[in-house]
Amino acid sequence: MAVRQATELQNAAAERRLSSSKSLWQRMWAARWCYLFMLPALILSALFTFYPIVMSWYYSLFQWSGFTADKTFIGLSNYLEVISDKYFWDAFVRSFLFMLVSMPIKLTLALLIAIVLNDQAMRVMSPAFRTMFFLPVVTTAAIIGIMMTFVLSPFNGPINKTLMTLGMISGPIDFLGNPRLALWTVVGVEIWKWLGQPMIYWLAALQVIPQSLYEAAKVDGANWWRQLLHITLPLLIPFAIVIVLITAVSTLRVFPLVQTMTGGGPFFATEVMEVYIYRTAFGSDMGGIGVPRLGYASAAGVVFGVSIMALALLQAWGVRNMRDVRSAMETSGE
Amino acid sequence: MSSNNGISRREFLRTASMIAAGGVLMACAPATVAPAAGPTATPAPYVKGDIRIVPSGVQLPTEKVTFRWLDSGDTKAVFWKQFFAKYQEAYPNITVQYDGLPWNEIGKIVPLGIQNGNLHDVFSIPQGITNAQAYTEGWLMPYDDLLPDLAEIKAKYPPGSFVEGINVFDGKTYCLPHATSKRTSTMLLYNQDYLQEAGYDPSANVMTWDDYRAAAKKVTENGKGQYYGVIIGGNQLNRWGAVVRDLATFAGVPTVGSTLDDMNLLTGEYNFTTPEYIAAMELLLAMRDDGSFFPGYLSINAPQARAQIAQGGAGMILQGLWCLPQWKAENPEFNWNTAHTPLADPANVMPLHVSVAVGTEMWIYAKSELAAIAADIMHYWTSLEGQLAWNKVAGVSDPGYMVEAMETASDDPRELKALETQNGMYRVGPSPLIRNLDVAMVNQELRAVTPNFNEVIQGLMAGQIEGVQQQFQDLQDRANAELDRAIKAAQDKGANVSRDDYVFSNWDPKNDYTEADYAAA
Repeated sequence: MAVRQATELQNAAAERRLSSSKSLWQRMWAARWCYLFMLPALILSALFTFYPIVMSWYYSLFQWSGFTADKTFIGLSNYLEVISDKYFWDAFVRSFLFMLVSMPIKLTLALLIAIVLNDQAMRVMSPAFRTMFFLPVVTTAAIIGIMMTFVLSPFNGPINKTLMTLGMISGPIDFLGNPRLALWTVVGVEIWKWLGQPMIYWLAALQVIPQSLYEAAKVDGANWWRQLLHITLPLLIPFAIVIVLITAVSTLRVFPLVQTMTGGGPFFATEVMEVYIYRTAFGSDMGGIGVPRLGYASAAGVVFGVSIMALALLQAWGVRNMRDVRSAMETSGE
Repeated sequence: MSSNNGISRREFLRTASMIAAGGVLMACAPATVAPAAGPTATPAPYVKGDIRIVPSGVQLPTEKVTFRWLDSGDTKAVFWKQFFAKYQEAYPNITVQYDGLPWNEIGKIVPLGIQNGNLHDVFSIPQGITNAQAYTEGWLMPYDDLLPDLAEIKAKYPPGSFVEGINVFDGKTYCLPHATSKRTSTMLLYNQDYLQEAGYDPSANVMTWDDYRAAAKKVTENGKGQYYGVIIGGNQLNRWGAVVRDLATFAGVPTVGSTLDDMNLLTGEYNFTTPEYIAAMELLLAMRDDGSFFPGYLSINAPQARAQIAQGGAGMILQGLWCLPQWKAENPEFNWNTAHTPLADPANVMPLHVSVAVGTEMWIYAKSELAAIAADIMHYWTSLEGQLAWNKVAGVSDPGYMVEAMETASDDPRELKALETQNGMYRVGPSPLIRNLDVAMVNQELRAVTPNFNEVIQGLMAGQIEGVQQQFQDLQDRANAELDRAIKAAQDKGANVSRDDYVFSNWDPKNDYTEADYAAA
């Protein structure tokens, strides 16, 4: 084994020497097919991801409605106003509160479902259940939001009717109109809607765990619970880091659901960051006085984006960590 | 409201419109049926309200062209799809691309089209942009060189329709409005069965605020949990402002729509702390405490509220006449009626106000090479025949500007009466922007205060904030501070403007504010 590794290292070093002796153009030409296949994704990313990001940085330095050619450079004034706006920080805190409540519940439930569906005994029924849990994920969030306003309605809504029929409540509950309940109701719907996504991630992770480990444990007399505690969960940790971070970032992006279910109300009770940005950028079409403020909204978006970027950096660190553990697992498997 | 002596207003309107329409159509008929150089389609017998392609005399292109039209859709889409089908049939070389899009899409497409120089030939100005801004930015083309009979066309409009700074700039006419601005969103629409059962007939006797509250309570009691007194789309913020504002305006504090909402232009002060605004808010809170509101009113929007009332969920809603066609189509069994908005004191009623008598929506793009087609279409649309055709499609939702053309808006006497009531609610009020174009620079600086009027009302109704007087005073202070800041910012940019521009001391709110009044002011 040591001989094979040494040979591989020698070959890799030789390749590096050879490639470094070529010019950049020669190396690109040699890999031209790779670049060609990357091109469409690169163009689309440049147009719809990188360009808008850069432009939002640029616009955040201007007082601009977004409609006219008349832009006034105001430096960092928008940022100063953003960080001194109580409603910005309320929305900021609400977004992270939303994420901190939704994510653990969603991940735990998704993991439990994934473990059950991954069980050999569920092999036949697993695809049907998997589809059932994944269907809300592929359904448009705005449609789910609108449907849920009917489902949760205190007037003839099926949830209230059921609870009242069962005698669990004496009068209907205004899930979305009660400021104390509205945010948590949206969190509940969000968990249901996106539960299937981490479930698929967990399933993928579970399927990476070598079956031989379970077989060996069975031979040693370990029951299902001990296998879960001593094999499944420890080996899922590196994947968990990535899944947690992906889910955290996606839970911060709940605009269509909140906008369709509550519009950020009542009286800002469900205004998360994206709704705040939308309100400041385009909010005057809902009857308020005042011009749209795309520059200001861009500044709010940049501040929020930086905080999400911090999470993404954590994610990158997690991915690297996971790769190390995975390669160690593969090495030990060999 | 209506007199029992002699001819009623509705009968008079109907008779006058029939005479006027008949006269105009007779005068037009020979020239419009089979034009020599115009459409080639065989003329069919004309029935009032039919869409018919009538040449305007404008020289149209003869080569193959694609004419593009962008507006906010809805009723317009229904009309234009029918009209453009006939227009393309009459002029086979003209292909029309009609884009009826939501306002937020228009807000994206128009700036892009302007930047790229390829905006639609006819377009709507996005919300948040004033007409004056669009003119200053060079987006618009005037009609003066396109329509030789422009003066005759303008003469048919009611007073206060063409105003410098709104649709006329530097003496040139940039917009031919098609529909009346006098449309309220707070007419009392109700379930006739529920109100009769409760002992009320709002269409015969205008409701006072006390009647309104008592009726809502009684309907709720009668409903026993199956239906409620009133409903509102409380998740849609602008509904709150509209209801409180109109209740308070009718009670005595004037405000002019499309200028600076909630400002009394007699004094130049915001109305939030007036006894009328506070009383209107307290009326809603009292009705909430009575339990008269439909459960979940804070989490439904206006269309959902509209649907619920037609399905028997509530007895009354303060909404616009655009609800009626939908109810007739989707809930034909629903026994509805309409009445004047409830009044604090029926003996002393302040009218609602608009700054311009007719809505200004469609504009010709300054760089359009097919402006002749736009002018030809506008010539038809704003004629009596075009207005009859428009009203036949738009109905009571978005009636045209010509009173003579109302007869095709509906064959339902309840709707015709509602249109008459609505028209009678309004007067033309003054506009700071019309008197001083520099006010547009203040509008460009003015930022929304948070929470705004709509949000404060929603917060009070939801119980998240308390104390009407205290909250409205806070709002008044913030609104004043923001207006002062915006005026200062505009002044710094060279605008000649001050708080005095928001005071019209010669305004009599019970009468139309005319050009003579502007001159005198």
